[in-house]
This record gives sequence, C-alpha cells and structure tokens, in this order.
Amino acid sequence: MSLRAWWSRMRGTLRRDAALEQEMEREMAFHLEMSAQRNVSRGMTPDAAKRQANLTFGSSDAVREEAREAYRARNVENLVNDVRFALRALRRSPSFAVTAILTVAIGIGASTAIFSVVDAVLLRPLPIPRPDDFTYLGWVWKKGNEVPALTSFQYEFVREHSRSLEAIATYRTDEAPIGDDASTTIRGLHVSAGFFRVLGFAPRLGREFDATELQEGGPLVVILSDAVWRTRLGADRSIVGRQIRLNAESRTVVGVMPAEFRFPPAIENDGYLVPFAPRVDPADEGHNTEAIGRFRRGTSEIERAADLNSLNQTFRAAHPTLAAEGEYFKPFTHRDVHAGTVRRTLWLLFGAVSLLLVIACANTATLMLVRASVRQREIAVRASLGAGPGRILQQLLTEGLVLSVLAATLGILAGTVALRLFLAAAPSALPAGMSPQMDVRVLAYAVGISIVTGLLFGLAAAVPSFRLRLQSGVLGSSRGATSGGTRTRDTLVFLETSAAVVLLAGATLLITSFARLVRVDPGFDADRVLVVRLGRLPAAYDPARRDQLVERLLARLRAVPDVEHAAVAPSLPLERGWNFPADTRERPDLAVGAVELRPVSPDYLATLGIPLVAGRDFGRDDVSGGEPVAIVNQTFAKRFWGDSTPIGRTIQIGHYKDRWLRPELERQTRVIGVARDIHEIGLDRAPRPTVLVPRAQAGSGTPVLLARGASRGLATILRNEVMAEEPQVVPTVESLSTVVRRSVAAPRFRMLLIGAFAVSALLLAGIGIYGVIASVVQQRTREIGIRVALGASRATVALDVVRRCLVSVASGAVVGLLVFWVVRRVLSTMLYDTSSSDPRLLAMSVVVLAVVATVAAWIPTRRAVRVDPANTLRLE
Amino acid sequence: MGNDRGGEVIKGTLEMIVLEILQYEPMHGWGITELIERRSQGLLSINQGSLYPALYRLVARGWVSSEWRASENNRSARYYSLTRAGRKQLATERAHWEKLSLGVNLILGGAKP
Repeated sequence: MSLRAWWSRMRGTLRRDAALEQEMEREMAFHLEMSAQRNVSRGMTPDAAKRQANLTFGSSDAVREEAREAYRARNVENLVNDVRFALRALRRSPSFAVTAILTVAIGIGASTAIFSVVDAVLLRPLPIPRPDDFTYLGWVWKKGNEVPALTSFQYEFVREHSRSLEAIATYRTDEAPIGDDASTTIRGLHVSAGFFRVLGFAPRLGREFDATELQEGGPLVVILSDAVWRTRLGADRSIVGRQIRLNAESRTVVGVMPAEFRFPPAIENDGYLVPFAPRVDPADEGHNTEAIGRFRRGTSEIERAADLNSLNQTFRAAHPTLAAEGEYFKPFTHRDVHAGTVRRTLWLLFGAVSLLLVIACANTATLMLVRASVRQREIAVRASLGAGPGRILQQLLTEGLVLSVLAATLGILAGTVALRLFLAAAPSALPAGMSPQMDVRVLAYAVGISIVTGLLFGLAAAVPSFRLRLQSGVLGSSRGATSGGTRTRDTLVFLETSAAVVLLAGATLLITSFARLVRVDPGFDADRVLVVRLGRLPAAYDPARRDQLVERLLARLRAVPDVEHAAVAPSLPLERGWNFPADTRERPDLAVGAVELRPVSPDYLATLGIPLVAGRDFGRDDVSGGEPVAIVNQTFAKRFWGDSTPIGRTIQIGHYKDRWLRPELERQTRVIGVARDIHEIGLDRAPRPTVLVPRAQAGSGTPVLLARGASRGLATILRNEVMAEEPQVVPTVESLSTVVRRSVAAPRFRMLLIGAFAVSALLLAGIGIYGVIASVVQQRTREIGIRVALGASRATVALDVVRRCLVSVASGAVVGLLVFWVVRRVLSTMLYDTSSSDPRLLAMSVVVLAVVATVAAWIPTRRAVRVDPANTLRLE
Repeated sequence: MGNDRGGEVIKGTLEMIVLEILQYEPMHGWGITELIERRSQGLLSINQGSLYPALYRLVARGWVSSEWRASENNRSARYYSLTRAGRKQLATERAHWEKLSLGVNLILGGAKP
C-alpha cells in the first residue's frame, strides 16, 4: 500500500461516515440502474426489470452493513495489531524501552510543568467576564518611568471625565482577624463604588454595597468570599443580615461572592470585601490609588486610545502643575501589573525546558534509529512478505506513538509532581489569580507534544528502511544495512549537542553570577542578628499604646543575657524601604528623588554591625520635640558634600516642588553621624543614599525588633519574652541571614532550574553519543576485526570509529555557541557581575560538553579496539 | 445465470477474481459483475451485493484504488483499478490458487473410479 493510500485511509477513517455512505449509495444506485437497463434490453418491462435487478443484488441493507464493516474492521484490526506488536517489540528490548520512555517522560514532564505555569501566568485570560475590556490605569512620567496606579486626584479625574470606560473603581488590600479568634487573620479588599461592575461579578447571595454604605462613615457591612463562607461559616445560607466580627468591629453581612470570584491581589481568595470611599486630595502626589476600569462593550482599541488621549489633554490643560509635557495616563494589562517581573524568567525557563525536550526527543530518535538499523533484517523480511512501505511506516509510526504515549502518561504524572515542587521552590508566590493547574489546556499541550514526538520517533525509525533497498537486508549480511540512517543519526547528534551547549552556556553564566552574588558582603553582619516580627497587633493598640509596647518589648529583649544589642526598625534592609526625596538648602540642584529613609531606634547600627564612620549614634535625648537629627550613609555624604565633613550640616527630607510631603518631616534636619554603606535594596544593587532618623522623631507603624546575639535557643527565648509581655501577639523569629538568603531566592531558583536542565541535557547528550558510537561499533565489528588483523593500529581504528560522531559533536558545539550568542541578551538582566559574552565561561561550557562527549564515545570505542580479530571473523 | 450451487464463488476467491478482472483496465462494480459472468462463460455468478464489501476490503488493504469518473454511457461511476501492491498480491494469490487447485484436482481426479 502506498503512503498516499495509507493517508487517504486514515483520513477516511476520521471523516468517514458521511462521505462514505454517500458514495456507497451512489455506487449501488448506479449498479441497480445498469442492471435494470440490461434487463430491459433483454425484453423485460421497466417495472419487472427493476424488480429483477433488486432481486439479484440481494438485500441492500445487509450489503451496506457488510461494506461498512469491510471499511472499518481493517483499520481497527491493523491498529490493534500494530499497537500489540509495538508493545511486544518494546518488551523484547526492555533496556531500550526503559531508557527511551524515561527520557521522553522527563522531557514531557518538565515541559508540561513549566508550560502550565507559563499558561497560567502569561497566556490565560483573567478569570473574569469579558477580560479584554478590563484594564488597570497608571501614569507615565516624563523620563519614561511608569507606575500602574494613580494619585487619588487623578483617579477622581479619570472617573469623572472618561467616556470609553463604563466603570472605574479602586481597592486596597488588607488583612484582619475574623470572628473572635484574634490570632488568625484573613486577607480582604477595601473596594470603592463601581468595583463589582468593573470585575463583572455580583454576590451570589445577598447584594452589593449600596450608596450609603460606600460613603465615608457609612454603615459597617461586609461581603464574604465563598471560601470564608464555606470554611468558617458552614455555608450557612441565612448568613445575610447577620453580624460578624471583623478586626474587632461588628459588621453586617450583606452578601457572599461566587466561588469563581478571584480577584488579585488577594492571593488566597479566603477574603472579605468591605466598602471604602477614596479620599480625594489634590496635594497628595503619591501614586497609591490602584485604578481598575472596564471599557464599554464593543469599543475598539482606537476609540479607547483616542479617549485616553483626550483625557490626557484635558487633564494637562486643567492641571498644568500636575502633569508636565510628556506625562500621561496609560492603560496596563493584568499581566503588566502582576506578571512583569516573572515574565522574563518564565519565558527563559520555558525556552530552556523546550531545549531539554528537543534533546530528549533527539536522543530517543537516535535510539530508535540505532534500533531500526539493528532491526533492518526483520523489516526487510516483513517487506518481502508483502507488507508495503506504507504498511511498514504505519507500523513504525505506531511504535513511535506507543512509546510517546507511554512516556507522556508517565510524564504527565511526573509533571504534576514537578509542578508542585516548582511552586514550592519558587522564590515568590506567583501572581494572584494565576495559579497553575493541570487542566485541559495543559493536558492538550502534553498530548500534542507527545503525538508530534511520537511521529518523529516513528519517522526516525523508518529512515534506514527507506534509504535502503528493502531486500538488501535479507540478501546481504548485516553490513549491508549500516549506512542507511547514518546521516540522520549525525544530524540528531548535532541537534542534541547544539541544544545542550545553549543550555550549558546559560547555566554556566547563571551559576557563576550566583556564586559571585552570594559572595557579596551585604555590609552588615547578618549571621548574629535575629529578627522578631510582631505581626498584627490587637485592635486595641492605638499608635501611642503601640509605641509604649514596643519600648517595653525592647527593654525586655535588652535584658536577655545573651543579647548584646537590640533595636527596632520599620523594615529590614533587602526587604522593604521607605522612599523620600532629600536635598539641602545650599544645593537644591543635587536633590535626590528617592533616598532610603529609615526611622530607627538607638543602637540600630550596633545591632546590625554597621560601623559608624563619623559622628555619634542616636541617643536618649533625640526625642520628639528635640532637635531633628539624622545619620546619613557614605553615599549620601559623598553626593552632597564630597570629601568635606557632613557632621553638623542640615538636610531636608520630604521636601518636593516647594511642598512638604509629610507634616512630621517639615523641618531642617541636622546630620550627626555617617554610617558605612550597606547594600540596602539588594546584594546586586549599589548602595543608595540612605538617611536614618530617630524613630522617636519620625516613626510610624509597627516596627520589626532586632536583637544581636548568637546563643542557641535565643530565638525561642525572644519569642517567649514577647508573648510574656503581650500574650495576644504571636511573633515570628528568624535570622537576618535568612532574610539575606531570601533576597537572592529568585536568582538561586533560576540557577537551580536551568542548572538542572543543563545537567539533564548533558547526560542525555552523553547517552545519545554513547548509543551512536556503540551501534557503529556493533555494525562494524567485522570490519574492525579485519583491519586489526591486517595490522592497522588500534588508535587509527578508534579514531575512525568516532570521527563522524565527534565531527557532529564539534559542529553542534559551534552552532550551539552561535545560537547562544544570538539569544544571550535574554540573560543579561539576570546576571550579576558576569558578562553574557564572557569568553572564558562560554569556553568552559564547551569544555564540559567535550569531556562528556569524549567519555561517552570512549567507552564503546574501547570495546571495539580490544576486539580479538579471530573472534569477530569467526562470528560471520 | 447459473443458479446451481456449483456456480457460487468459493469464499475468499472472489477477491482474487476481482483483482484478476481489474488487472487489464479500471472498471466499475457493475462492469466487474458483467465481466465475471462473461469471462467464466456464465459458469460463475456472484451475489451482486457481496461484490461491494469485497471491493471495499480490497481498497482498505491498498490493493485497489478507486476514483469517480464518467462511464461509457456518460454517467458518473466509481472506477476501481489495481495498485502496484494489488498486482503483487494477485501474483501471490494466483500462485497460491494454482497450487490449491492442482492439489484439489489431483485428489478429485485420483478419487475417480
């Protein structure tokens, strides 16, 4: 059977019934008509002729049924036989089967796991109605900096003037204890009017907030999420109208959201919604109002852009002080806002895992090819027994598919596990509302790649058969069947090595970069510092009582014998900071848009082990109402005063465009000390200008407690001290070095994953090269024997065996490097102190590959050259 | 048409006969029926209906291909023709049949009193 016939049959099977039936009907009608015509020509009346024709034809229903059977049975029968045959063949060579299936399973499993993340985060639309009409709104500054949020004033302006938006809303996140249990909190949202319309969800029970509730000081109400309603309130349908306690306030439940409602940033959707009236303050220039909107149904991109454009013009015309030329409103997608930072990493991982899949497939195809050469005789025998090339191809393709289906089944299971591991190891939670899962889309991807790979395997296996005249395998010795797949095999080795080099080069750079990153001295002594976080304080603590509590806790910590120093800070270096503009009266031109501002207690520097370069630390006298003082870091000092001493100079913080951003900073501050620079915002980032001020003069919020000391069990002691002071607080204690480690979690994660891919790629490439050389050796044993017998040196023979394969490896390495050169920019933002074109590192990755390739080639070659010529010749 | 039992085609041979008929020229189902009758000089008659399942089986095995074209009286009919594989198959079956019929004839001839 020709390939075309096979194809048409397959196609026929797929869309069989309709066309088939129709053709059959036409054909039978033709037959009966011709038959009747003949009867007429023999002298029958037309009626009798027709009757007779039907009679001789027999029961047409039975014929139809049999005809259908004839069509289908054959296909199914063949397929079942092919599958059975394929399984038998795999069972006959278990080591081949296990290697191939595991290899492909790893490839499919890993790429399915990564794909599920890519799909969830980058491809799938937001799980809300009409996701294309949903938008975030943000602001672009003159220098091209942008933020996906507005000032409250801008928000109000857009709300009033936009024509293409049917609704706009704002929200902020919060967390609060629910019910009487103060220790566990749940996350929730404060939402403005329009929120439900923007998201396209309405409560499944009860109602939305009404206008009075959405006003400031309106009635205390709450809408619960489905999850909270189910897990905490037993899915009680009569909950609407009842009171529950939220953050120590009693609120009336007015509704329950549907389970499909998942809006970020409530990562775990175990939340609640409470009404919120945004306060509009023209003087507030902080872009802290998250603005979400929904475009009118059916508006085109152009209409939306035009509307935003006119909005920008109106805004600038009305408020020239608030918008400079080239500053404008910009729509952001959900992905812009929430997947911005992980996008690059995800595509990187997806690219890497796809390379790994390519290698796994090339490897298995090589194995198939090698095996097919060995099976040459079997195939030739079958061909001579009447199996057409198409039939044989079908059989081989079925074998490939059986292999890949087995591998895919295993791979999907492995992928599910891999996905869990991935999510557990990922440095930061994935963007909310984008949780990956093994669903239909992901399964479709896995099935798709397994079908493609399966067909490739089948074709690879078929190559030698169709390169050769089929009979030669029967007539000649096995030597006749060697050259068939050689070129394909070389191509596969080439493909594998080039993909492996790309991965290796990437991994080498990431590993080097990470090694350099973790060697960076943060500038503070993280190893001996413990961090005590208080979590949420009970609602009864107003700012004054909170500060008293912090003082009492600090005194308690200082009293612990093993604690050398203790201090408080609003947040930790490498975690979060507080940005404010800073300048001096003398040199307003040197103003810095954002310095790190940290209101800390005395002893902060001593606790963290940061040396004071000049001046003094804060003391007990630096209190609220006293002279405002500050300690600056070296970078700050150098910027404003160069080499002259900063001590005694005055600076102003939070002074911007002739206004003060916060009333409590409204003053001139005297510099009393200079602290050594530390890596405030990241080990890979240069120290920023930093200003420390006494917490007593500018602090707010619940701070973090820091204690210096190194004894065992100190963490427990600190925890108990806090709980002894305030049993309602459940503190968490960790080492500052954990914080440092966490700050490099993202590069570590990338390095580990890409490194694992590269190691797998290396192993697979090694296996592939080994397989190829081993089969060459096997096929040429006789020739090698003769040559050795005739006095050829073993080295010459060995070189001859490996030459072709090593040439493929070498050209693969070169092309791999070239490919890497083209795509290297993808990595450059992820590298620290490492150039993506560092020749030594790139050379190193090639050397690693060369070593593996040599070892893989050497093992079977050694066997070949040790061959005893007498034995091999006797074998024939 | 011979209606006696001897005219019925042995199961399995119909397909060989069809292959044989088709080796000279493509033909439609009705034409094959007629040719079988004519070439067997009326000795063989087939159940006309069963011709079609046989044809489809041949198509499914790739021994015969089919296409629609105009018949001699300008009607559209489905013409079957032999593929290369079909030609090989015919040779195989012919050899097989010759052996079989020789054997059967020998036995039947030998059994004659």
